[in-house]
Amino acid sequence: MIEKGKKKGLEEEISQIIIDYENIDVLKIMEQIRNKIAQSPSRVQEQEEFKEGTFQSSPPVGEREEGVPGLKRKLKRILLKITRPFSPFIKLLVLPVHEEAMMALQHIHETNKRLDSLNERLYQELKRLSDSLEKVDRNLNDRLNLAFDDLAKTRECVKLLHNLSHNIVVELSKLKIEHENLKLKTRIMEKDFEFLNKKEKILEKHLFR
Amino acid sequence: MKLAFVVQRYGLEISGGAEFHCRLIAEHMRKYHQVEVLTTKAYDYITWRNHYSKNLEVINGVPVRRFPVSRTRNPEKFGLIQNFILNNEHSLEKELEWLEEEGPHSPSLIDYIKKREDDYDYFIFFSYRYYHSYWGINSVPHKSILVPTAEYDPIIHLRLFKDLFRKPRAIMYNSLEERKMINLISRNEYVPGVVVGVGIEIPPHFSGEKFRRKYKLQGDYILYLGRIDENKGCQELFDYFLRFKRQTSSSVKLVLVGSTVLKIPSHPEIHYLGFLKDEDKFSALDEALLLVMPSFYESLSMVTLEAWALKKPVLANGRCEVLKGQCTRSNGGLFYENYDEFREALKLCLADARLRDALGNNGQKYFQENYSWQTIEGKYLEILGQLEKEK
Repeated sequence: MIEKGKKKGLEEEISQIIIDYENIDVLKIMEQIRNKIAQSPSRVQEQEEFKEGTFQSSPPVGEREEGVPGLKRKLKRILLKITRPFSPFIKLLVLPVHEEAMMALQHIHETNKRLDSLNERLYQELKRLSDSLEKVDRNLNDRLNLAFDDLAKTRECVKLLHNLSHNIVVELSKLKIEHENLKLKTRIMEKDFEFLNKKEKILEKHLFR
Repeated sequence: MKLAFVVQRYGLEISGGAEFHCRLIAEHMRKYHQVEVLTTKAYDYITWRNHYSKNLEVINGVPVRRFPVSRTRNPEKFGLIQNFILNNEHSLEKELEWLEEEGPHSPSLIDYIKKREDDYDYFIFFSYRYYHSYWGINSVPHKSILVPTAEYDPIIHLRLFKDLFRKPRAIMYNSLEERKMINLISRNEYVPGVVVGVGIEIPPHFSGEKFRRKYKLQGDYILYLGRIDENKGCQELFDYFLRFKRQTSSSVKLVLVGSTVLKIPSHPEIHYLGFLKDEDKFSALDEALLLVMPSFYESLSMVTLEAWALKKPVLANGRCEVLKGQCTRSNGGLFYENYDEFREALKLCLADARLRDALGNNGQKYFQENYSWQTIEGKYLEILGQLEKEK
């Protein structure tokens, strides 16, 4: 009997979830499971607390009619008197709509709660992200500052090296000119030597003749 | 073509995911190319202490060269360094120090790769996070293929891995989620990559009845297969299952199979069977109503594939992107992200045999389409062919 009862209970639960067995869609099933969880008794209890809190704090219907002009008020009273015998029937007609409205309200409340919790999570994640970003930003700035210092030093070095190479070029040009002059002088001296040699030979000839 | 499979540990008795994955791929690629395995002498993944004595041996027809681990891991020191680098601004040197400590520290393996590079056409490295992959790929990037087996672990954000993922000639991913994560971290879209995964070996004979008799198991049960570890989500599974038992009148049992590093709660409905041989493991799976996979970090989950191969539905941890993705793509399992979802999904699966069958059938179809050995071998051969053309 107990087993039968359990089975029946489980079957009722399954029937709450619509499954297309020929074309299983896990995501759809999970969505239905989540909806079911949102409407589970513990949640419904919370919803009831919510209902008590919200509906009781809202103003009673009579109070809202205070501003209605006298004629309208009289007409309304007459209409209410006429329809009073039919009121159970009217209530019966309105019941499904009322239930549907209540269900919708429950759904909205659940959705709001989920949104609240998601907002809370989002806020926490954003905070965590912003902390991390701040940390990364700080570290990046430190690193960038170091890199800029290095860059400035390198620039100075490049400037000095540029001056140095310019001076080396000037010095090399001077040395080249000096070299050319010395080559010229050597050539003149060689010619002088040749002339002196010739002169020496002629003088020797004259002396030993 | 001569292929070298480089992995941190290798052996028939090693059940680690990446190591087993490597062994299966090496044994299957043997049909097409000359294959050799380069590994260490370690067996224990906590300390990497040298365990195997032979330098060369043949396992299931595959020659295995073993190199000694020159420095064992000090778990406390490793923990401190890891904690530091995960929580503080640090230098690349510190990351390399972490890698040295992560191990398995085997410079002789790396020297061998450098010296004998010309003897091999490609080196296929398994598990991105270890010493052998980092230094191996850096030694022969032009001949490297990486099988990262990466899960969403904070360590993946280290700078040294960002560069590592850009270096190999090709990357063989385990899942779309793994590929997306690595692409996002290292912007390595230009490195040829393909989502492959791995096939599984189903033993020819296994019997659920014998299994039930052997382990005196009666009634319906859900099964967890794998290392029983907090990182695998087992602590959460115990909590959820015990809450489920308290809140519902279900008579379902939880059966645990695998080595354990966690204290298992003493409860009449929780049965721990220890590490089982393949035949018993598949028998256990065949008799289970479903496989529960509570892990937070997975790059593929071979046991999920094993369950699908046997038409078993899966109830997976939806906070693991890979498991959630696999369940969604296959429509072969439900997933949960909190206790309420666990309770409702499990209740639904237990109550609805038709749903279990439908999920199991979808899982098997997905497995056959994507993880049959023909498909896996084909993808490896295709990428090797592509690399040869680019030579």
